[in-house]
Amino acid sequence: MSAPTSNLWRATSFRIAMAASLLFLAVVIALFALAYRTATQTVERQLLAVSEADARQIARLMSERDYDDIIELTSPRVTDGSPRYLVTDPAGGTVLRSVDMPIRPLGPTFLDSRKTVIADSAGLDGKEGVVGFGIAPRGGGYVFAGRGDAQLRELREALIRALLGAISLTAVIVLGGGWVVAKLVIARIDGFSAAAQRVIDGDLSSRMPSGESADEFMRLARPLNAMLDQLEQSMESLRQISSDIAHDLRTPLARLKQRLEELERTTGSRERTELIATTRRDADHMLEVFASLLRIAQIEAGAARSHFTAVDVSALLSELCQIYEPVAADRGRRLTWSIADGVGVMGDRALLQQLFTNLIENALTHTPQGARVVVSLKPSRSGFKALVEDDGPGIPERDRERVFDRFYRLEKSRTTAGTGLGLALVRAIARAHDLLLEVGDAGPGLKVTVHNRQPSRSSRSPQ
Amino acid sequence: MKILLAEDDHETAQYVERGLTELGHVVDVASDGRDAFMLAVGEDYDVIVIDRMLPGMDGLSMLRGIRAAGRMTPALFLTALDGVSDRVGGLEAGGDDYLVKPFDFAELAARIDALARRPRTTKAETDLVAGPLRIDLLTRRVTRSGREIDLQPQEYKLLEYLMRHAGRVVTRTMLLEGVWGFHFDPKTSVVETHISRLRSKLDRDCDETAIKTIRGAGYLVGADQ
Repeated sequence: MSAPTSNLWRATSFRIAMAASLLFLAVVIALFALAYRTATQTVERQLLAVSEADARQIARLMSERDYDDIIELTSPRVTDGSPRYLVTDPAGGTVLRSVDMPIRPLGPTFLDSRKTVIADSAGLDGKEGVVGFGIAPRGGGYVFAGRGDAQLRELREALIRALLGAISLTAVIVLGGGWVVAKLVIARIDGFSAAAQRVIDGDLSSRMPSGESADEFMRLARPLNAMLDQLEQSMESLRQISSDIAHDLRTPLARLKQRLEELERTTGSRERTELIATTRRDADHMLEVFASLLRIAQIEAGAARSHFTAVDVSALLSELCQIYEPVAADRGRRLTWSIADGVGVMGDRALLQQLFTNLIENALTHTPQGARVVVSLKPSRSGFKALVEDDGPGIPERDRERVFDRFYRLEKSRTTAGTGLGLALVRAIARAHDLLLEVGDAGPGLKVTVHNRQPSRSSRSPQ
Repeated sequence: MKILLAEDDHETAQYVERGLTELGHVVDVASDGRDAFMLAVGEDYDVIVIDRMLPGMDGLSMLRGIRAAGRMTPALFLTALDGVSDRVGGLEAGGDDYLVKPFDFAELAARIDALARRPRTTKAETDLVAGPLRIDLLTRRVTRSGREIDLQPQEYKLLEYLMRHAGRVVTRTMLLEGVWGFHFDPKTSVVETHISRLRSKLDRDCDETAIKTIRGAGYLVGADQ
């Protein structure tokens, strides 16, 4: 996806670049205006000063009637630049006339080329204006001394040329720079929208372009990618659940149907009652599976977090052990415990109770007669460490990662009762409480550890 | 007993109504939150059974309204969700108990019974008596026909709960929730084990068991005695 050029004008980055450059241009013009004024005024003042000195000297010489010296003084050899004179004697006769004008101005005078007439032909062009000084001497007559403004005009032109150059250069930089910046930004935004489009099209593994740099795009990319991770994980678990449900509930549903068909054929009332009872148990089992799945989903959605309170884990575990000790004894297992006092955590009491209950029941269910189950709790550096150990057959190492998956059951326990969701629920509860679960070897037997994460909670790995 | 059932699902409503009527209760059914509210405020009921999700006015708001109108009729929530937040929300709105769908009818009947006969005033009791059984709540002394019985803490808690509900059927889930605070169904025979231990202590040298098992429903202490 590349942006057509017409879109460039709509790009925010381009407009920002343009606005900044226009501001820059305005500053350049203002600075030039100031420089222009200062420079021309300085030159004008110099020309006026020279002209006034000339005019005063001529006027003095005229009052002495020293016309020769006037000629001498104004000869091109002596003066510099392109002097212009208009001198008339008291009788009205012209003494010098290298410029003429319709009026006889007095004092500092600026005349542009339209108001002056250049009289002699000493290489002067008629377009020149004059800057000069006019005096009416006391004895009569008129003296005007001035300089052509060619120098001034050149200065002005040079300044304006420089200004125009600067403006065009700025304009090139503005448009070019804005274009480049906008192109770069649009290219990166396009990367984001292309990634988003891929996600929309169903590729949930697609991610926003990211790199090592810490620029603003990366600041945007990181949370977006974290969001996509979460989304992908949710979708994956949703997909997983649907297929799990389909697989795991097909069998009991089929069985249920068979039983009902059988029921239709059965006539004896005792057999019927028995069949109805088993059918009901099947239905109960399925409902239980659904309830567990919903519960896991709800816990994973983090619904419980909003009302976490301080839970006394020591008291909770002591009570559970007291409750389960006779249960274990009835089943021919021995439950012992060693629980440290005063261990607490922020959480939901009912859920934590279920977590430990499931672990204890799991140990009681998947061990042979005469097995020993040990529950222990001790404080640790990051909070607490709770252990449920047994000396049963344990779990092969390659399967340990999967015991917490939904519907995961070891081959040999397929035949025992249960939904295969007990440990999945344990994991969901642990995650909701930011607790870590570890499955290990109790040598022999199974050892499940529940402990707080290390304080660095910034990176919540999906386990 | 007069019971109001606020339930919009026709089949569930019929199932519950039929069952309760068979037990001799009078049942009014409202399928809309607003109708149920008007009935609950206008008439005298012993128990109100409310579905959380009702059209017109949801169950929580409805019960808050009923409580705000000064009606303290015991209320039981039926909820399709077994979430912690649902449980807490229901109790905060003034609910006295809750039951997750789908439920056994016997469970609902037992809970309605327990709610209706719950003492409205909490006067300080010092003794619980049920037939030959007696608990002195201050000294935690348990006797059967005057003979003292030594109980473990868990056994004592179980007996106390049963005696507080003397004369009424107590279901397995009611015990799990009421005695041990289990809001889930354990896979092992927790209730059966503890009942059997308690029984063996209570029934020593007696012909009759102190805790009767009601098939398909639960347990009963001190009935018709």
